[in-house]
Order: sequence, then structure tokens, then C-alpha cells
Amino acid sequence: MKHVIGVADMKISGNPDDILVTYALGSCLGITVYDPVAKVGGMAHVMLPLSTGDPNKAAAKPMMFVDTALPRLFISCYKAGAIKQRMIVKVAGGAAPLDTGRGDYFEIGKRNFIVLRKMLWKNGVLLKGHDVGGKQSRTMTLNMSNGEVTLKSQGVRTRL
Amino acid sequence: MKDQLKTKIYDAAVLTFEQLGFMFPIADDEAEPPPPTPDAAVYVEFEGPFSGRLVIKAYGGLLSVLAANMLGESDAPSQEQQHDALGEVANVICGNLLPSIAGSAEVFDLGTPLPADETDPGAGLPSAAEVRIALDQGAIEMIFYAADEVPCLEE
Amino acid sequence: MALNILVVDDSSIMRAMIIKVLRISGLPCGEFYQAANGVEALKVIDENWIDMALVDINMPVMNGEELINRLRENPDTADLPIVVVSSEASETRIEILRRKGAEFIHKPFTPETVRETIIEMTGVSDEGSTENEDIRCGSLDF
Repeated sequence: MKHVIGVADMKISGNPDDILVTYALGSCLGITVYDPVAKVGGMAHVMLPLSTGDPNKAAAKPMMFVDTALPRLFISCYKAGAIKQRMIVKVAGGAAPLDTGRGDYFEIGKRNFIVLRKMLWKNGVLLKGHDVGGKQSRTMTLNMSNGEVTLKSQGVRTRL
Repeated sequence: MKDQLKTKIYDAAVLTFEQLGFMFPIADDEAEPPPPTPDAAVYVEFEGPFSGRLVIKAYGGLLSVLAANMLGESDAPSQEQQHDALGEVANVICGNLLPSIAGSAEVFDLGTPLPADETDPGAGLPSAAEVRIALDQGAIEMIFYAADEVPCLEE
Repeated sequence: MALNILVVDDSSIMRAMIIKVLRISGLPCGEFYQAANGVEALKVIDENWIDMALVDINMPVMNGEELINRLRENPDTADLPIVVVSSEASETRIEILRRKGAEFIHKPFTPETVRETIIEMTGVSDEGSTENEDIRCGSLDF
């Protein structure tokens, strides 16, 4: 069954028949995690880097910010039976779709990725794949039967 | 020429802070005004097709955040680790900056990062460029001192 | 097959970063050794079984290039896998190091680059368990 993850949202699954997909990753990050032994995983679509500037919004919509979304994604997967050391983490997005000279003024896409990297580093996790930056929008898909992550951008499909 | 040099300094510094320190530049109007005196300053001397030193000053609590980020820890790092972090960042910025100026075929020897003298950080050398960057936590000021004329080579 | 790894860098924070990458990479790591310059590194190598060395270039007392020369001159260490981890960006110097059999990782690096370089160099797999016990210090978010 196909599940669409919207902006500032996530989905966890332990069903091998599920396909998780998120569309229109511009400056947002699509983050997938997958435990190939437990066959549990999830996908998040995250908009902004840090929640510190808007704690009320972060309380209401924790999946909007990288720093509040990432722990929830992992912990939700643990609760579903995933083990941290086995989890495969991949990320896509972080583009600068509104390129005005030096990139978009606030460089949201780049900041999202930097904050993600900082949190992964602090929590002892390495990325297994990433496709980040540029100007193009991306669609990201996670196949729960085998953990395969595919991207589609400008009509071209690739495996991450 | 000076603007080109400033851009190269900026680019080398931002790359280093983003990749090693997980810190990003912010616009001046997003930033708190920096305090008048730095928390610390280090310099790296270099010799090659041209010689000089790069001084980096850290402001506004940047040191402890930088060191904690590099180590991937929440606990406040020691003073020694904080200064080590700034020195290592200075070394990496310098190592990336010089080939961007002189070309990748040229060879430079870099000295060990050392604390900079507050009163005369450039040790009498003329300043070729100064760059200030506000980061998400704290700020840095870099001063490029050159003993010789700095060439502008096309990449 | 656990790898005993020596990290040589005059920056203790850089040594800590590299060791952390290796600990969380899933690579089969045994003991970690550290040295702040080439002289210390030679002593560590003389006294311990080292399978691989990650070496900075710009160091006081004895720099990385001199260390590599000494290691290659010694039949016991001539084939020691060496990865240079340095901000050095001169193609001239990098080529000299590569001709001495060293791989090269440019600073600033990503942790994934360190992992991929070692996998490529040694053929080991990164599917071992990571040392979560060691990194579970301070407060983790997840």
C-alpha cells in the first residue's frame, strides 16, 4: 500500500507491502531510516533546520524542524522494533530552488542538511546515502519490502 | 583583487565551519552584534610562492560550540579542546585557501596554529584582507597578512 | 579481522573526530592508538601491532611526509596501509604521497568519506555492529 508523507510529517511502517513516498522535496529534506533485519523503517519530510526560533510551532508540529523531527523518527522506529546499529539512513532534498546569485538568501536547504549532519554525528550515526543540494525538486520513495530508496527528479529515476 | 581574495577567504572558512563544525553563516541582520573583544585568536603561518599568516579571531561563545560540535558531544569541552578546535579550523581554512589563490600545483608549508598576540596579531606584516562572518552561534574575524604580493591566478 | 588503527595528528580534537568516525562506521576496528607527531607515531608502531595509519601532514617535530618516508624505508612497515588526512590541497604534494602508496582524504572531510576510503583500501565490510557503548556518553537525542 502506498503512503504519501506530506510536509512536516512522517510515517513508520513494519509492513513489507508498504511503499512510503514524499513529493516536492525542494529545500526540505526527505529522511528515510530502515532496519533490514526487523524490516521496520520510516520516512520524514522536514522543512526547517532549528526549532529554537519558534518553540510553540515546534511543540505543535515537531516534524517541521530537523532538530525535533529526527529524534522522533528514530525513536518511533525503535518502538516498532528497529535497532539503532542496524538502521540505514538516507537523505534527499536540501535544494536551493530559488537561486538568486549566491543561492536563496537564507539557504534553508543547506542549513537543513548541516543541522541533520550535526545531529547524526552527535548521535553516532553515519549516512548510507544522500542526494542533496542543487536546484531541482525531488520525489523520494522507500520500499518497505527491501529498504530500497529511489529518487525521481526531472523525470529521471535513480536508486540512492 | 581584494574582493576576490575576500571571497576566497569567505568560501574556505564557510566550507570548513559547515563540514567540520556543523555551523553555517547567517546574515548580519540575523546576528547579534559581536562583543568588542574576541574569546580567542590563533594564527597559522605559511611559506610558499608567497608567505604570510592567517589570523582567526572567535567571538560570542563560538569556541565552546565549535569544539562540542566537532566532538559530537553535548557537554562543554575543556578550554584546551576549545583552543585546539580553533587552531585546527584555522589550519584547515588556510590549507584550503592558499591553493585557491595560488593554484593547485603550488606547494605551501603551513606552521602549527599558535595563539595570536592581541596587540600585534600580524607581527608587523601588512594586512591584505579582512573578513568577518556571523555564524549561527558566534562570529569569526579573519585577517590575511601577506609578506609578499599575493598573485591573482585564474583557476 | 579487527583492525588496529593508529591516528597521527597534532590536534587532539581531530584525532578524537577520526576515532569517533571509525567507532561508529561499522568497520571491524580493534585497538585505537594515537600520536601527535611522526616521532611518537614511529614509537607506537615499534611497540604495537598496527594494521593501518591515518596521518596528518602538517605536524611539528616530524611531519607526515617524513613519517611516511621512514615507514616505507623500513621493510617491516613498507606495506603498511596509510591514509593521509590533511588540508593539503597541492596536487604536486598529493601526487608524491600517492606514489608512496598512501590514500588521501582532504580536510574538511565527511565521516562517510573516511568510511568509504577505508572500505576501498582494505576490502573490509562496514556491516559489523557499531560500538554504541562507547559513544553513549553525555546525552544522546536518539
